Amino acid sequence: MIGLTVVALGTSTPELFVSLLSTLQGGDDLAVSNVVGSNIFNVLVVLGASALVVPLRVRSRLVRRDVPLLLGTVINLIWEVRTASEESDAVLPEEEGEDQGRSTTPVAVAKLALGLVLLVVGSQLLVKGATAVALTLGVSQTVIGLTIVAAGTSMPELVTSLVSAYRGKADLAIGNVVGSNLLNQLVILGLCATVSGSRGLAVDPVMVSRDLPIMVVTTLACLPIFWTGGVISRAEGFLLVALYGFYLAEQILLASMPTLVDEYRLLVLVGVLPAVLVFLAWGVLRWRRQRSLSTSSVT
Amino acid sequence: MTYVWSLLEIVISIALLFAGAEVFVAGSVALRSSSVSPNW
Repeated sequence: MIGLTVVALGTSTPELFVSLLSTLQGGDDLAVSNVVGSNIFNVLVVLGASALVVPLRVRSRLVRRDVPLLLGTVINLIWEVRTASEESDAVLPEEEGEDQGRSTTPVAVAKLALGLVLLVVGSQLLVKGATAVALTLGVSQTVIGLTIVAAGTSMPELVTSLVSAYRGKADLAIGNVVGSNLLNQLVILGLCATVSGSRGLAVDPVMVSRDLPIMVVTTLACLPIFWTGGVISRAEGFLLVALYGFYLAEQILLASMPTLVDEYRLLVLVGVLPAVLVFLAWGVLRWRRQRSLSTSSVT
Repeated sequence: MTYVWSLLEIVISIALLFAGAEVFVAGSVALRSSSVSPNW
């Protein structure tokens, strides 16, 4: 619960400010792409990298209630955007023993506030330093925007989930991802749409045709991973991080070598996507076999 | 010199991020353990 609410709210603060400020300055594209990009980054990199640190045990309540809720909001978002555009066309180890060294609520809140300040300052400094180094090395502004700046606002989620996983707080790591994605879509996008007033939030058609479906697929991919045995394994974590690598490569190709994008997409569709589906199906089959074996051994 | 300073900024920022995450996670765990509801 803490992961889904307090941690998610805290680590999503950079996204909130970036998206709200962009909307107020008329940069709707950045506001929406920040939310969509962060959600893709959260599922693929934050969850994947955390599972690489230590296999993450998923609580059954999260699978039964929170992930379907997240999936529902993703589908709802796509439906809303599509409807709006049609209208506009017309016009692991659990936490036993963690209670040692109990703190009072004010101390806990002070720690949360101090940690959040350090996370936000750290992510801003990282973007500044990495951008300067990339510029010195001759990397283009576009590629910097797509990679360093996009990852920069998600750094608090990434580092918090990595530390949570390392400290054995798997539920904080997973709750942070699921909660942040829910918050990004419902609260940040909702607030941006509210402050945009009567003009509404403009959504780039490319976002609707490419990035939003990717967001749905990444959220859908979580379901078999979460269900199979209630643990996100290192192999599954690696798969998630690798998928983000393919997504990032497409973004970089689009910005630097657009003529190669069609061939690259074909390669991903023919080579990578079937391999991912086979991997997920194999995971489900293995889990079902293990479950039937354990059931028969009990009876 | 600027290049060296930028590299230093990256190192400092990573240290800040991990220090922040440690304190933030500690705060989250402390909040959960000091909370009234057992579900938190």
